[in-house]
Amino acid sequence: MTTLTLQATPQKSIPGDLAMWFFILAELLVFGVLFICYGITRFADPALFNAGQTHLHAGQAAWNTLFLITGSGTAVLAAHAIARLQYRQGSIFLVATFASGVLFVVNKLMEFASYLGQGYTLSTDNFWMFYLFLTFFHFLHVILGMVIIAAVWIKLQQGHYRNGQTAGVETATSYWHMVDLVWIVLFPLVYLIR
Amino acid sequence: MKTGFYIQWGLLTALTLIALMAPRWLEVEHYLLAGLAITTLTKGQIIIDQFMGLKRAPNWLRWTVTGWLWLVLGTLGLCFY
Amino acid sequence: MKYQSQAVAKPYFIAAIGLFIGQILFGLIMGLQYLWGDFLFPAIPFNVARMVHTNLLIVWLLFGFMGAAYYMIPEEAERELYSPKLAKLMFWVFLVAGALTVVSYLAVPYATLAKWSGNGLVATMGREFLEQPLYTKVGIVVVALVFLFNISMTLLAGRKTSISLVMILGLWGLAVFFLFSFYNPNNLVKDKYYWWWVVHLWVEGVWELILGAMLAFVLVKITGVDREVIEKWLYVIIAMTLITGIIGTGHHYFWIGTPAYWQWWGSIFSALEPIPFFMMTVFAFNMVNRRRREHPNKAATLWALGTGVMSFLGAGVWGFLHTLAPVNYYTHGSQITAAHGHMAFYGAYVMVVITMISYAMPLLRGREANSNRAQVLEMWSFWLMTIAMVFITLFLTAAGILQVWLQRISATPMSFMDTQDQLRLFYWLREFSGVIFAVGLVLYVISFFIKERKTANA
Ligand code: HEM
Ligand code: HEM
Ligand SMILES: [Fe+2]
Repeated sequence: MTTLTLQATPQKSIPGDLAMWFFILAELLVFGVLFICYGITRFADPALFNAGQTHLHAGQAAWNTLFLITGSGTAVLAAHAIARLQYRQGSIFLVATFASGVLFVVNKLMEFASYLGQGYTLSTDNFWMFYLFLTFFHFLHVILGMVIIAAVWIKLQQGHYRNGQTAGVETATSYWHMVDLVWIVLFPLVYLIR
Repeated sequence: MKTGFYIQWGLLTALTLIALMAPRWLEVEHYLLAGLAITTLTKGQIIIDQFMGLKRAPNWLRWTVTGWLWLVLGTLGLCFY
Repeated sequence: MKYQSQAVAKPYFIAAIGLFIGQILFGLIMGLQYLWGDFLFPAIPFNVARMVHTNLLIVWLLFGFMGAAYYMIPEEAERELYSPKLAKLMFWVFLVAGALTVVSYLAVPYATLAKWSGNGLVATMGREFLEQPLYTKVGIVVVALVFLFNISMTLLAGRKTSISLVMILGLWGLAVFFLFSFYNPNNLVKDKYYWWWVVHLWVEGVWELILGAMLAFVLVKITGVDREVIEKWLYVIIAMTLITGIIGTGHHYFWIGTPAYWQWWGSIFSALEPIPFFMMTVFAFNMVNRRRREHPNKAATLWALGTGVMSFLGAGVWGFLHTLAPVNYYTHGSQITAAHGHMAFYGAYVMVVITMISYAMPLLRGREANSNRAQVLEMWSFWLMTIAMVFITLFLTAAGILQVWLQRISATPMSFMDTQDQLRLFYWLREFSGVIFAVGLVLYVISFFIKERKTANA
């Protein structure tokens, strides 16, 4: 990284707070390293990974992709509405994003329960170790995303973000989009590609 | 903004469903790899440029995140090739 | 000094420096014992000296952190400390408890001490860094709780800044994770597993928050850079620390009987741990370069920059060296570990505490900065100690590489003790560097007593 300063306010504007973007970049780095480690390990033993993959519920995971995408969409709409001072709408869209997170979490928990019920653990083999860890680590990020969205929603109710001050909202939605982006790579990586 | 936005949203949904079906449609593994790479890249790019709004952000940020997507997908592509 | 009650920090800082001297003395003793195994035996056996050396280190750093908090929190909260009396009382309790502990280490065989102090009832002793008898451990908890109560009440009633929130979060974390020192399962694997929750989650978790907050505080003061800028850096550093550091604990779970997946998660996450340390370096230099004022306390600025560099070298670079499981397979528990332990502790925590002392002590003594002469001497001590520590690290690293080679890689591996005989040259050099370090420390102490020349301007 070069000598980026946290104060930079260039001509084009950064969505939300620059500090959040540093955080997002760091998260992307962590996930990127994890994904590539998955790829390399799989390269060494494709048969094991292909066998493990057949036990996964890809359909259920596709639903989860739709939930996250929908949540991202309503997050965009929320930021847009608040910028135009339509606070009621903004509030509803934020609730929608949060709700899509709830759907993801519930669905994912059922999926985890099913695998654990069948006796798969982190120690089963390399495939399950990666699968369970990666998706659980991402799962925690969805929850953090929901917390951040909820915090923004509360602030909105308290009358922050008047006069179209959307920086705070964009900070939160950016994080949510990152969680979505990571899942968009993770979904085909663990469930689909063979 | 509105129409563009709904097109992007629809595209994300459609690509997800296409990707889900891809393993059934594309028996040859290299075709599957290509298909998933394209759908994933497109979806990621929509999130980055449109939803995150990095199209309107300073270049260093836009290209760092875009670069991340390409680098990760590229490396994974090599691993699965 | 803006608030009267900040003055309670002073005895804490003085005690810290006093115990620091003791720590180094025992380091030198052990350095000699490495060369002559029976030096000072049976009066001070190696295992006792080691315990004193490491425990004094931890205790004086805790004194430093508490002093720093007593200095920082009132200033950040913009009000007097909730109870200066309590702070003074706890100082004496902690000092006496610490002194008694060291005396009992030296005066009584450890096993006897364990028996006397009720280790048979609640077994907590005998583990590195956590050797303290039960009553000392309980004392630490009591002191920590009273201390936390005191500063939390101050903060609750006053202005809440990011710096003080991060500081207090780190201090609460410190206390909470120390509680795992009371948990000592019979299963040796589990014992070690939770032991690292204290040791690793301290230095690579919550202490890093304290480090970040202290550094940020001093940088705000000496550079005059906007608080907003510094606070954003702080948040990013903290977030990155926690993401990498918590799961990074796994780099201690490679070979102790914990599940094999830790080799992956420990390697990957801890390999990213240098990032927040690197950001800390960039942060320190960046702030000093954009300074809005020339603070007369040049020595404090030097210590702050030094912390940035040396913590990255010691924790980041020397940590990374042996943190990947395939490397650690060979280096585990060798002199390379000791090399890293020394430079990381010095570069991060010793230096940040001295940074704070260097900044605050002149103010506590009623002047903005020390006289030029005193500062020059202090800067000499900075260079002597820092360079000596670099050399200690380099010599131990060399010893470690040779050790790993002879003992673990070679086709005809040598026994542990035969290998040690081959490393004597490096142990001599280490001891020599240690003496230089001690000279630096003496100069540091003297710098507090340098009077201004009559004509000098303040
Ligand atoms: C200021 C921060 C740090 C301090 C004070 C510190 C201190 C220490 C100490 C004292 C030990 C020896 C523990 C023992 O076995 O008794 C140790 C071990 C270790 N540290 Fe650190 N450390 C820090 C940061 C890091 C970082 C950032 C990394 C990785 C990048 C790291 C990697 C390791 C590893 C892998 C070991 C185990 C060595 C072995 O297997 O023997 N440390 N550290
Ligand atoms: C501020 C300066 C110092 C710090 C922060 C420090 C810190 C430490 C730490 C953390 C350990 C435990 C290492 C481990 O578990 O791997 C240790 C052990 C030790 N230190 Fe220091 N130390 C300092 C100065 C010195 C000096 C000046 C000497 C002597 C020249 C010295 C000699 C030793 C020795 C011989 C050990 C025992 C290593 C072993 O168990 O084999 N230390 N020190
Ligand atoms: Fe560690």
